Order: sequence, then structure tokens, then C-alpha cells
Amino acid sequence: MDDDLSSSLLCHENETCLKEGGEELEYQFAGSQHDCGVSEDERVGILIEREIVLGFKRDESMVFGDWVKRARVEAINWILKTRATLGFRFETAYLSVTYFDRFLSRRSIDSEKSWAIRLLSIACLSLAAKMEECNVPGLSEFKLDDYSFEGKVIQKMELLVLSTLEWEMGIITPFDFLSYFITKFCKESPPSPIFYKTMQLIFTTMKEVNLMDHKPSVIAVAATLVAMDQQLTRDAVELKMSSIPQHRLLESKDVFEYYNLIQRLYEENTKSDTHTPIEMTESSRVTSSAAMTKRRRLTFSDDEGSSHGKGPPG
Amino acid sequence: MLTLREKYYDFDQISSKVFKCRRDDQFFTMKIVSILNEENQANNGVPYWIIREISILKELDHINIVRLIDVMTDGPDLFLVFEYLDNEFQADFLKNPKMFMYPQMKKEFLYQILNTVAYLHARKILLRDLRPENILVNVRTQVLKIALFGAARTFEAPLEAYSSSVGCLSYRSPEVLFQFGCEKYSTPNDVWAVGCIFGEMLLHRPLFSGPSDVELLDEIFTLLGTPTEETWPGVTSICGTCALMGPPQQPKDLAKEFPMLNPDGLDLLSKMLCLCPNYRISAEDAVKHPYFKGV
Repeated sequence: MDDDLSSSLLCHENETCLKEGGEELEYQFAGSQHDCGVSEDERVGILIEREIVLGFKRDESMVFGDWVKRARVEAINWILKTRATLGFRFETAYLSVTYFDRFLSRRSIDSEKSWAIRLLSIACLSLAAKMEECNVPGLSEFKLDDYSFEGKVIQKMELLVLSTLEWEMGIITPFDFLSYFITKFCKESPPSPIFYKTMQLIFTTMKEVNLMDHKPSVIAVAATLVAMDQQLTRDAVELKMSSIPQHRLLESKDVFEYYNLIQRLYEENTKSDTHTPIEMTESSRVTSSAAMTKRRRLTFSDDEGSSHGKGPPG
Repeated sequence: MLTLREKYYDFDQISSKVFKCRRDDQFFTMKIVSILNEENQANNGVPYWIIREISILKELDHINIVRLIDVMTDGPDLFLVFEYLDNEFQADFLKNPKMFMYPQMKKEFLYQILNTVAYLHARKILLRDLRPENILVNVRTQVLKIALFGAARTFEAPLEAYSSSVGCLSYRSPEVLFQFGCEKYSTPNDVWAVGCIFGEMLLHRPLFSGPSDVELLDEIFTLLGTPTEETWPGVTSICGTCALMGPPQQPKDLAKEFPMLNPDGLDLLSKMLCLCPNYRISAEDAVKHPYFKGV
């Protein structure tokens, strides 16, 4: 696979961040095996079964509206920027977006409450850091350009996210599968460059899709396969997948669909020959607008947003 | 969303922070955890350890683990709703005199503990504080339950979060006592704790009970011998001149120390109490040990 595939899918800033973290990623990959008497095949089987319980599946009635999609991209950009500023792991950023999507799949936010989306992104990143990081900064370290929230307000939002997600914060991400799939697929090539490219692809497509719509295992397999080979047919994907002992637990149709999504993003970015962040595309999962009927409405009283600086309209 | 009082009723205080309560003719145990009134809390939000603990408990579904049913917030407190265990379940299971009536019962309970530890390790979860006080048993039904809250950690969580001061001293492994570094806290430490509990079941007293790290290590080495490069590769480079090592001691004959154990039992105990964490048996392999044939 060309090196420009992964780089073309990222803006310069993100690409640099990923390259700076290259050694860290390699180290985590190398150290990801734990001897607990359970084979990696069994461990992955357990994870895939848990994905189903956690509710990673497409729900046509749960499609983000245009306003939410725009706000979501802004939130992701802020999360990635803050991740770099605070020195968090990439997994932490991804996990926070998973919380963000999971929350919005269960509660709606009114379009006039842009402050609530900002507050949600802070709470999600803070919670992800508390799950993943060694050193978690104080809430005052999570800075926004346009709003300022007091610690107790962020804490209240943390509790709302926790209760909405039913305290199930140990959510599975594609990174739980990467070392396994890369090792299975890359028998002849050294895994580190593939690992790095796969990471880039996962982060790029993150902006395009509601992460609750796709199983993390599917994202991990598809991204790994694209990182290895851009020319795979449906049959070739199925053949590759058959080398995984747990392949019966994975839907090859879903994997090929996600594989194609990454491919399409690559083609669109190379055509435009630009390194700017990806625009929402027509056939992307999150583009069609629909009412968020099943979700509970998020309401804050006006004084809850902030007590200093800019806050929600009073 | 229902409030705490709308959802649960008939509160009956068991201890200062624990209540028995009811919902739809079903009983539950409710534990209160203060989260918002700690010093500097407003600046840090919900404490990280509470989030990690609860999220771990939420994903566990095992007959031998006290199940977390619900989590509710009310003001500065969190209310953790657990499955209710009736009076037949006795905490601190080794203090139950009926425990020692039947040798087969000990084997059955040891198997249940190891099976639970294997289940947790398969899910990348460390117990870290396994001790008899956290284990409840119903002698009549021979069902054992481990109460996890406040102890478990996922071993994909940050390594620095694993304090070397975790766990009751008597059940701490030699590598933790040596303070080899936080990153060394892993699955073998839990197996060591189970080995200590196994020994305690047999002797009716704690296997090791030194009041300090140094004295506890001395007790361990008195029974199992001082580690060498052969028995524990790398031990001398890390602790070669360390006062913790003490004078060299030869291992005692476990068959004489535990005359009530058959050869399979002695083999399992010695593998669980192996000084070198890398050579120590895994929980997964321990449950398959011949000692449990017929359980």
C-alpha cells in the first residue's frame, strides 16, 4: 500500500501527531500480549461476544442530523487537538468519541445548545482519560476557545454521561483487536508500519461514521486489510478473514462494506489532492438526516452551563 | 428517570454505608459511596477509581461474583445496588467453623475461587486484593461469592495505577513485597493470593502473617526457600544486595508441612506458591489440575 494513502486521509496536524507517537504505538503493540493462561483466539472471541452486548449495530432510526454531524466534527477536532496538548494516548481520544456517539445515540441535544455539545466533549474526554491514562489532569486543563465551564458543571455532565451509558465505560475499541489481526494477517511483513497505517485509517474514518454503527472488530479488520492491500475484492477479503480462527463471529459483508468506505475516502482525498480534514460524504453512514425520536432530550437549566466567561445563553 | 426512593424502598441499615432494600418483592444490598464531597473534588470530577471499578463490575456476569445490578446518584453520593445475599452467606469464609467439616468442601470452594480468578483474567481483570474477608460462602448450597468492589483493576488500565501497597499484607506476593515496580503487578499476584488462601484453609490459620514487608518475606522464604537465579531468574540483579533477601534458607518439605494433602494437592499448592511469578501456574491451568478431578 502507498504511504500516501494514510497520509492523504489526514490533515497535516493529525499526521504529525501520529508520527510523533510512532514509537509509543510500536511499544504498545509489542507489549500488548498478556499471559493469563487464555489464548489470544479465546480472548478475541470473548471480546467479539461482548461487542454484541454493548450494542454496536446499525440502527436506521438513530441517524445524526446535519447540525449534530457538524458539531460532532468540531468536537472530534477539539478532542484530537486536546489529546496532543495533554499528551494522551490515541486510544483515549478514540474512546472519548465512542462515548460521545453512544451518548448521542441515547439522548438528543437541541441545536441551539451548542454549549452542551462542547460540555459533552469535555466530559467524554475527561472520562476516557480516567479510564485510560496514568496521569489525569484536573478539569481546568480541558480548555475550549469559546466557552468556559466550572469544574462542578463538568462533573455534573460526567455523571450524566456515566448514567446515560449505564456506567459501561470499558467499551471495546478497534485497538483491542489490532495486535491480534495484524499478527494474523501479516505473517511475512513486520507489523509496526502496518500498525501505524491502520491507526491512521481508523482515526480518519472516525470523523465519518457514528462509531456505534460498526463493531470495533469490523473496523479493526477492515482498516488492517486496507493498510495491507487496497485492491481486495469481496472474495479476497473473505479469504483473508478465513485465516482468523474467530472469523465465523465476524460478518464478512460488514467488513467489506467498511473496507470500501475507507477506500472511497482515500479516492476522494487523492482526487481533491488535499490534506485538509475530510468533508462529510454523501454515502457516509451519518449523512442522511432523520429525527432522533428514540432518544431522551438533554436539558440543562440555563445557569448550569457556566458561571464565568462565556457560557450558555442566559 | 426514577429517583432512588421511587425505585427502591424498605431500607434496612446493615452497617454505616450498607443497606438492605427492596424492589418488586426482590431484595438488594445497597452500598453508599461518597464521590462529590472529597477535597478538591470539584476540580477533578468523578474519581477515576470509582469509574474503573464500576465499569469493570458492570461487565461481569459470573455465579461466583457478587453482581452489581444498578448504579444511582443522589446528591453527593453514589448508590451501588448489588444482588442480595441472604444470611446463609457468611463473610470472611475461613472464620466459618463449618468450613472445615468436610475436606471435599475445601476443594470445592478452592475450585470456585480459581474458576472465578480465571474468568477475570480472561477478561484482563486483576483482583489485586483477594483475601478471605472478601469471600462469602453458603455452606448449605456450597456456593461461594467474591465481593469485588474496591479491589479489581483491568490490566489494560495505566500501569502506574497499580500501587504496590494494594492488598492485605498476608496475601501479597513476593514480587509485590520486593516492590519490583508497578508494572510487575499482574495475574500471578492473584494466583499467589489464592495459594495463600489454600494454605490457610488447610492450616486453619494464615499461611504468612508477618506484620511488615521484611518479616513477611522472611516467613515466605522460611517455608519456600530463598530465591536464587535458578528458581527466580533475574532476582539477584534486582535485589542481590537487598536486605529483604535475608540469609539464604532452604525450602521446607511441603509434604511435612501439609500432611493432610495428597500428592496432587501438594503439586498444585507448590505451583501456586512458586516464588518466580513467571513460573507460577496460571489460574486457567490451575482449574484443570488433577487435584480437582471429580469436582
